[in-house]
Amino acid sequence: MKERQGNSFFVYLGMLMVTLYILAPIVWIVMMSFKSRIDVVSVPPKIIFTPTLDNYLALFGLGKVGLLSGTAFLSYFKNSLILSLGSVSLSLLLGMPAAYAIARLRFAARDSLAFTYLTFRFVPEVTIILPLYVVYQKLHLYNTYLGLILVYQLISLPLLIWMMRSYFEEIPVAIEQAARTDGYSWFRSFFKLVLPLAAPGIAATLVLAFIFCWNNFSFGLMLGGHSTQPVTVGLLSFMGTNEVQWGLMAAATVIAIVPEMVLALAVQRYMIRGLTFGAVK
Amino acid sequence: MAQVVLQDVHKNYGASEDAVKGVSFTCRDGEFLVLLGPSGCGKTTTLRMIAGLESITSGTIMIGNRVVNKLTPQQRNVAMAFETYALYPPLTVYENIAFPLRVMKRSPQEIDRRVHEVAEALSIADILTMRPDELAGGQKQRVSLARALVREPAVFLMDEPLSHVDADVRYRARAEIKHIKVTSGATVIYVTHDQIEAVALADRVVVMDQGVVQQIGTPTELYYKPANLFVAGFIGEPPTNVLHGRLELPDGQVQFVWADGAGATLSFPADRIPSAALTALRPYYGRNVIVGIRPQRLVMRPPATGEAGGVLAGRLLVHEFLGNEGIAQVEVEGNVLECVTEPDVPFVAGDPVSLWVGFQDVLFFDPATTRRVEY
Repeated sequence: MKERQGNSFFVYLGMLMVTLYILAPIVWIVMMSFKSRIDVVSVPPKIIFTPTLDNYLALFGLGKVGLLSGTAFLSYFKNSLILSLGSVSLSLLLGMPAAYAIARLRFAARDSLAFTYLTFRFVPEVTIILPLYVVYQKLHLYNTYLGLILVYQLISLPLLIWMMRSYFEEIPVAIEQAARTDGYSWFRSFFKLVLPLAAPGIAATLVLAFIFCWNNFSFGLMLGGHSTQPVTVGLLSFMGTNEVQWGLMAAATVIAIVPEMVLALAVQRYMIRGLTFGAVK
Repeated sequence: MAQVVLQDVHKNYGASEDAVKGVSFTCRDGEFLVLLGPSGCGKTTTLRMIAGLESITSGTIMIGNRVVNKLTPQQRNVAMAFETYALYPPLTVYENIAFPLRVMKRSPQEIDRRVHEVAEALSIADILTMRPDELAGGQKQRVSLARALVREPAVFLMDEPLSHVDADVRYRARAEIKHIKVTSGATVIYVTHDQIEAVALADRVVVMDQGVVQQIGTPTELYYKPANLFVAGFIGEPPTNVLHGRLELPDGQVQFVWADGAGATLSFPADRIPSAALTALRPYYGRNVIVGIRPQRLVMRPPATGEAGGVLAGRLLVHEFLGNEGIAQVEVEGNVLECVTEPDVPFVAGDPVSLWVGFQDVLFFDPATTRRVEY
């Protein structure tokens, strides 16, 4: 018994350290975002300082930090929302039938097709981005929301297909068959029975896909211009030629991670499964 | 209720070989027909084709007098009970049973009346407000049956409904299914891999193996007149003893010389064998033949003293006491034969014994086709 208590003490200690390790950068960024221009760059860093909202006010166009106002940030934030929501919606539309088909139907190319979707994730983005740049210029997709949403499918579509497939597979096929012999059409049994059963899983998957899209940097950097780039790229604009606006950048970062944090906390319970999905299958 | 007719039904999933190869049978109106076979024999696929859950590659399926090949499951008016029960998890037991009636847009009063009738009949009236995940296996199985029964369909299809029920409830559940069948006069097609279940429930059994119907018959026919070696081995517990050897015809005797048994022989005086049997066996004289003997038909006796007849001399290896019977493993010339005995026998392991069998209980099979030699 004593040994066990000792063990659990060390387990908690370990978990505490991991938590601190993960949270430390976030805490640091949050602190930075409330510091004045002088405090941000002071050496050694100040733990105790007079907090200021200047950085946040500047981001929303309500004030200035030095010569800069951060109003461009809001349009980056909007771009991120459009791109991430658009990509996830398109992936949901395309991925749900695909996932269902792969989960339920027997056809010759099923496994190779599923694997092909997965291979989208194998290739590092930077290896395809130059050819894509050329293609996008020719097709006039460069610097368009549509273009970026299409290329974001490389991120969100495989994830959705593979995870939704596993959720569909978990629902006993007999339930659908029972409904169909009981008089439901295929469509009705899918929307009335299968979808509600898979809904929590699908919601978690959507959040995960949203986060991956939101965090993407290289596609926006290379295939988008100022009017379409997401916040991840936009943060770079705080690095000027003669000054780095650490405070503004920190405040912008804090705002940028809020949507992800909120969504992740909301579906945390279901996401654990999503993250370990590859390991247990 | 209606009869179901299958004519030369095939199913192909895209492989070079068909999963179901030309199955034909008729399930008469009000009949309890069991599809029996080992896993992968195509019995469930056949059932699902009748239900409309699988497309039919070729052939015809008729329910009543209507060809249903192209009809959807809901148009066929069949009810199905599934191996895994397939209850709708978010719905209560009541709602699960009411589901098919609600889909058919019956009046709430009628739904309520029917659900309670069926629930009473299956003694699940007390769990109507519970949800499937709160139920035990036997209860789930009854709810699943209730959902099928409430429909009054043209035919009931049951896909191994008892295979996940605990052994102690299975016997009762089996009796209940039989009772429902008898009282409702329903046409039932029932799939199982359990030959005891099949024999207990069926009016007739369709034995399938590797996508092909091996035999259609009553449980008695399958037991006493198996069409081939597969049926002989599949029906009956313990399985039929199979002996490879030659059929000889020395003076006044029909003699089976057991090749693996170091020439041990079963001899029967020809004058006591029906002439129909002698005629049917004539082509096999002097040639190889396979003999099947049910363990129930072998009689274990003290060592024979010189007398001829259907006797094999051996040595008792093991005797299992099973309460109302016993099973003996008897070694004959390096081979082990099984023999059902009285619960207690006056022998101990190692004792010399002899196994006696009457000619009428010896099944002869053609070694090339494995078909039984009929007479």
